[in-house]
Amino acid sequence: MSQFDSLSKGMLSISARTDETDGLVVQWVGRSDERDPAEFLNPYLGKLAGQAGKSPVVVDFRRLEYMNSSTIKPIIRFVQALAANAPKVTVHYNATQKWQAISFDALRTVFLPLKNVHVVG
Amino acid sequence: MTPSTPTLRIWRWGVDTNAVAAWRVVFLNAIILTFFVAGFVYTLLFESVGAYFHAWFVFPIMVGFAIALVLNRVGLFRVARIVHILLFDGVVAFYAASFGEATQIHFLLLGAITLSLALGGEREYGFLSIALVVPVAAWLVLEYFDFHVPYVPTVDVPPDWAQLVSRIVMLTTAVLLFLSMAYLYRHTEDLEHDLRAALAKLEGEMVMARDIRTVIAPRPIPLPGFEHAALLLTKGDEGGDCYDLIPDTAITPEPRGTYLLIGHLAGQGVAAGLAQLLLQTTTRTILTAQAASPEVVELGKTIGAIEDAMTQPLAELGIDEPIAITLVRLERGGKLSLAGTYGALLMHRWKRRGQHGAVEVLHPTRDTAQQRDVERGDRVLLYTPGVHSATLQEQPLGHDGLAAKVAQVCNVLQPIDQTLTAVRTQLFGYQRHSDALLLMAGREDLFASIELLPDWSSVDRVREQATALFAELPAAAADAGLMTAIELTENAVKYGMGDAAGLHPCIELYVNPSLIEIAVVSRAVDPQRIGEAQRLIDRINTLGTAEELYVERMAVLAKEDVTGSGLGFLRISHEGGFTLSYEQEPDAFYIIARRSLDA
Repeated sequence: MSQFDSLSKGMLSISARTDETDGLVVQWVGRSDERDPAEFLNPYLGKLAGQAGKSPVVVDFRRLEYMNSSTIKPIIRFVQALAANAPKVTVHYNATQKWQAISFDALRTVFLPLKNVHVVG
Repeated sequence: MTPSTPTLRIWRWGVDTNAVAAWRVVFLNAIILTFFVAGFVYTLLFESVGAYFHAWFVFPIMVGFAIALVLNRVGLFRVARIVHILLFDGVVAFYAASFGEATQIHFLLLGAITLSLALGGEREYGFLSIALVVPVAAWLVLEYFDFHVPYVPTVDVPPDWAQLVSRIVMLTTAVLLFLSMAYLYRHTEDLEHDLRAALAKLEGEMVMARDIRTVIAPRPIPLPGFEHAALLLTKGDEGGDCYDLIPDTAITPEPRGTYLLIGHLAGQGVAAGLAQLLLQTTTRTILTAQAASPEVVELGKTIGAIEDAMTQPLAELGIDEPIAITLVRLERGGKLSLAGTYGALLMHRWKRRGQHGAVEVLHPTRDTAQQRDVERGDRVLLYTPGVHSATLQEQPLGHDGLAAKVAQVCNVLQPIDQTLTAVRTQLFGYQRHSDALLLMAGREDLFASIELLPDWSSVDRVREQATALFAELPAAAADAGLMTAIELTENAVKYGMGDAAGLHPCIELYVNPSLIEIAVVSRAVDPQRIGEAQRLIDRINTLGTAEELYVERMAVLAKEDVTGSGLGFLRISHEGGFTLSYEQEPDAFYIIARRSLDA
């Protein structure tokens, strides 16, 4: 049984597990289109960032079908929190989906100052 | 030609089929015979007690009856019927007068029986009951007032002679009545046979006419740029309404427009079917010929040409009434032209307000084509007089009545055939007096209008509609359209409110082969938010791209603790590739996102 809680809200589910190679793997699946996702994402992701500690982290958005603009801010905050402790944070997105390609391209620019964050499409 | 159906003429008062008519003739004569037999019995009874001989009246009755037979034979059925009734009256009156209370009661009872049959719906017996009751009742009234009508003169003959003559006369009467009854029955059988033959011939023609109407009914062919549905409710097999759909590609390689034709032709059976076929062929031929002209021919001239070409063939088919047609041309851009000699066209305008729009009724004229623009969401309903002349409790539906019913059910979110079915449902209960044709058309553009209630489930409804609407688009365009629709919806639900009139924000999704347009109308929005939205959209449009602002905003989100993401419009523009604009009205604020599909 995983030591990390998972989150399920509406059509969105987030699971976390440890992997020998990648360290902590956080996977986003489904759609994030709640009215105010920060309400439930910030506490959950904050706790997860705290639990991740100094292990490498992979945040996998490749199975995320849609996210509204209100989801972007919690994601930025989550990656920033992870980057503060983790030696390496890898963000995976699906480059074949145009919306993901554009969104994560922009996020790559935002994360440029964070040298340990890699956005991979 | 109308087939000869003689027996229908005589029995039209209440009998529907010839077989029934035949049996009624037999039954009527059986009743006559009963009276005479009864009279015979009475005569014998009275003679046995030495009464006078009263049977002399049988001879004039016989003569009258013979006259009725002759009248029947020559086809004067109604006159024969009246003579029958008068004979009844004569017989009844005489018996009632001659044989006292027993006979009177006898006739009164028979009158009551026939009256009950008449009240039960057998109207034929109404006359019989009158014939029975009236003379007896009249006689009783006269007797009540002690007014004695002199009895019919009697002949004082020796009893032996009287008995002999009486019996011979009555027996002869009985035989003649049996013979006449047999003759009538046989005659009725002949008439029935003739009628059945005529009906079979007519039915054959009707089947052929129906076949022709089936064959010429337009197939559900695509009309470029438009969708359509038609509903033809026939009243009978005689003539009536017909229609045709003629896409421009069928008549010319150069797109000029799609033609909708509705027509009403008189006539019956095969002739009517042929006339309708002729109308379709003639119209297509003329349109094809006109398509060769370098200029678009005025629609009124097309109507005139069709009328001219149809006059002679219709006369040869025995159809004298003038042809009645309406012709509509729909051009791809939405321009509508209407001309004709009858019928009407109803335009239901869809208005961007989340409300039903206005309905306009156009009456075609022969000489001058009327022009209108069919916008997206509008519905055009062509219909024949059989629709608006339908009645409910003797009140005609009328053009305005139809317009009101169409306004109730016209829903742009429904497929056009479902809308037409809904219109038909509205007409249930109305009695049609002729064929009724409804032909509805609208622009083929995909369109959805969704009212946004102030709860988050609106997002799901928009997602569902947008996913369906954009399903045929390339994946990138469909994703971008979906994202834009949801972002605009989220904004409207968060910040838009219902106005005093109870109107909620509304989103409209529109797709045609070259464009996606998504428009959201918000009401009662905070002026500060409107100002912010206007400034941001202006800034994006000034820069020509939102990329810089998008990344800039992301950076702000990364650094500062701001309220809200403020990314919605930037995503729509940068991620979705949409161009944003806005419109402001006193009670509404529109944000419109457009994306070209041409690239």
